[in-house]
Formats: sequence, C-alpha cells, structure tokens
Amino acid sequence: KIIPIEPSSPSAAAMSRFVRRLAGIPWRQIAGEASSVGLLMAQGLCAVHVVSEHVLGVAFPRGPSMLPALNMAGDVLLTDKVSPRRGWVGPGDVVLLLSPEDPRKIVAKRVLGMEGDEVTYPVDAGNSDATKTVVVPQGHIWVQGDNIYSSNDSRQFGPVPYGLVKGKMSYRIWPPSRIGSIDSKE
Amino acid sequence: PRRPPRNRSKALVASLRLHGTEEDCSCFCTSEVQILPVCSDRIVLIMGARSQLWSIAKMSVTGGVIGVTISDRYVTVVAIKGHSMHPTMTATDSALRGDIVLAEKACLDQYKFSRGDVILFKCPSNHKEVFVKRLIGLPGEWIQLPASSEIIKVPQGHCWVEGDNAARSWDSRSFGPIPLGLINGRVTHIIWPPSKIGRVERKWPEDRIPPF
Repeated sequence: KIIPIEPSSPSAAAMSRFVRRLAGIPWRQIAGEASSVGLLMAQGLCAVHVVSEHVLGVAFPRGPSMLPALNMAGDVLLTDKVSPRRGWVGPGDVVLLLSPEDPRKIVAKRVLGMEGDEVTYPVDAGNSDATKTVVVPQGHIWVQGDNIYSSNDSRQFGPVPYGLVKGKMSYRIWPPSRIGSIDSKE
Repeated sequence: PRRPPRNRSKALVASLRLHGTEEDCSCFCTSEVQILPVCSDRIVLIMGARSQLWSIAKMSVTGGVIGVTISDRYVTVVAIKGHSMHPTMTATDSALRGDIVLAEKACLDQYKFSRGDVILFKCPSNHKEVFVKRLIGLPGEWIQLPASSEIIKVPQGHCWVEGDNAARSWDSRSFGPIPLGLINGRVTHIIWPPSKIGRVERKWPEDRIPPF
C-alpha cells in the first residue's frame, strides 16, 4: 500500500502517479504466468530430449564414406535409438557411432561383423587386392564404409566396442526423391 | 479479475467476494488439481476421483521425463557394485548398503578429463555393464605398465583406466586402453553411507610414475 505524500511540485506529482500505477500492475499474477510458461517450456524441452535420445532421432550425415547409399551431404535420416540398447543390431545395418579416434565426432558406417564373426576386408583398396581376415572380439563390432576407397573405418582403427553405437539408421526422409529405406547390403 | 470458465467435464466456477471491496472474484478449477490464489481470502479446491488419478499419472510422467533429462545431461546417481575401487568406494553384498555416488555428465560435452579422475564407463566387452575406475592415462600419453617395465602410448581418443584396489580390479591392464566414447560420467561425490559423504578427490596412486 502506498502512503500518499503531498506532491510538492509537478515532477513529484508525476512521480507519485507513476509509482501508483506501478503498484496497480498485477506483478504476482504476471510472475505466476511467466513461471508456468517457463515450466511448460522446460517440460517440452525435456520431452524432446528424451524422445530424440532414447526413441527416435534425426541425423544429417556428411561425407563420402557411405556412397552410394548415403549422399555426400543433404540427406536427413531417421535414427532408431531403441535398437542398439536392446542389441537389435546386426551385419548390414547402418549405424551411428562415436568415433574411437575422437569421441566428439559421430560417424555413420555399416556393420560388417558382430562379435565372433570372421571378417575379410581389403587392406589397401584401390592399390592392391590384398585382403586380411580377422575375428571380431567379444563385445566388439567391425564397421566399414560402403565407399571403401574413401572411408576411415575399422580397417584403420580396428574393431570398435558395441557400446560406442548410438543409433541405427534405416530410413531416409530427405531428399524427397530418395525417401524410403537405405538398402541393406547382403 | 474476471476470467471465463473453461469447458471441462468437471469444471466448476465459484464466485467469491473479497472482503472490503465490491469486486467479484472468480476462481475456477479444471479437472486437474489447481489451486488459484487469485482470491486471497478463500481458496477453493475441487477434484474428482478420476481426475485425481489422471493428474497423478501426468505428474509422474512429467517428473520421469525431467528426471531422465537431468540424469542424461547433468548429474546422475549410481550405486557401486564390485570391489575394484576399495577403499575409495566399496560395495557390500547387498546393493542397498553399498556406496552410492554422484556422477556428473558435463564432462561429456568436450571429453576433457584430468589424470586421477574417477570415471564411469561401459565395459568394452559387454556394453550392458558399467565400470567405475580411475583415469590413469590421457590420450597421447606414455605410461608405464605397473607389473612390467613396459612403456606404452595411449592412442588418440582413448584412455587408460585402473582401479584403486589393484588386486581385485579388472581394468586396462587386462582389456587395454578404452575409447573415450565409452565414458558415461565422472564421479564427484559419495552420498552414502553418511560416514563417507564428501568429494571424491582426484588422486594419483603413490607407487606410479606420472606419465610423460
């Protein structure tokens, strides 16, 4: 409550009018509405995080290592986050994984072998026909890009632990001419 | 202030009068439990049985979603099983009486760790298991294997981890350096049992030569 003070001059009268108007604004109601809107926005952001991290996300892969299945740029892929956690990943799937050389980089590669599988791979694609065969250790997978001439994958950094896999990609939703599943190499 | 009532099956509109003024004050509640302190003198609480269950369900889903987000991005609570970090952290036979620790996730933004941090990471040979060990070697460092006098280099993007309890610890001495991408968080505090509440310090084991 404002205690009225006798205005002694026109500017003091304007000041006291201003203060009275300030007191008339429903601050508590505005604060209540702002905090409820803020809470709603926080809930929305949390819901988006939970869905995109644990259910279904979107990926924008770039680079030549998965040609011709994925374009060099401009593709938008749906990322299934449920399958890797449940172990529903097998040879032929295209997966997103954290790079074992730099964990801040996410790479998209195709799984060629699961634990216990024997994988035969070209050692020096393009220059020679030499191949090597390895057995994938327990808990690891062998990943390779479709474009073996331009791909940094398990041929360079070895089999990677399954725990690095963050998502499985099967469907493309952009560009419109290629909407549909990424064909799985048998 | 006057507000129009919302059209819900259990909506009720009550009119109250403020003491001392002539203003009509309308409180309204929807099928959710809502207490609107618009009228300072009287607060009306209205709920139906079915709407109460629905509101409890909504609150638990909201709480769960917010909890999962906080646990994924900021801080999470983990119960320690296994004896590889004794005496810093111990487990007992019952999970309820083992140590409970707080782990922060902010370090996963840039993957910048320091020597001596205690970290949580997924086991490289079984992605469903989570281990807790101390970080001994950072990427690019040369470290000495404790048993032999071998010196190895930790590859880029990897780290060398060892448990404080060397005799009972299955760590990098067995499975080699692990990719940093397997790390789940950094342990900062012990919050149970009360006798051990406090920070988990960055510590270097006494008998190891610091890496170079």
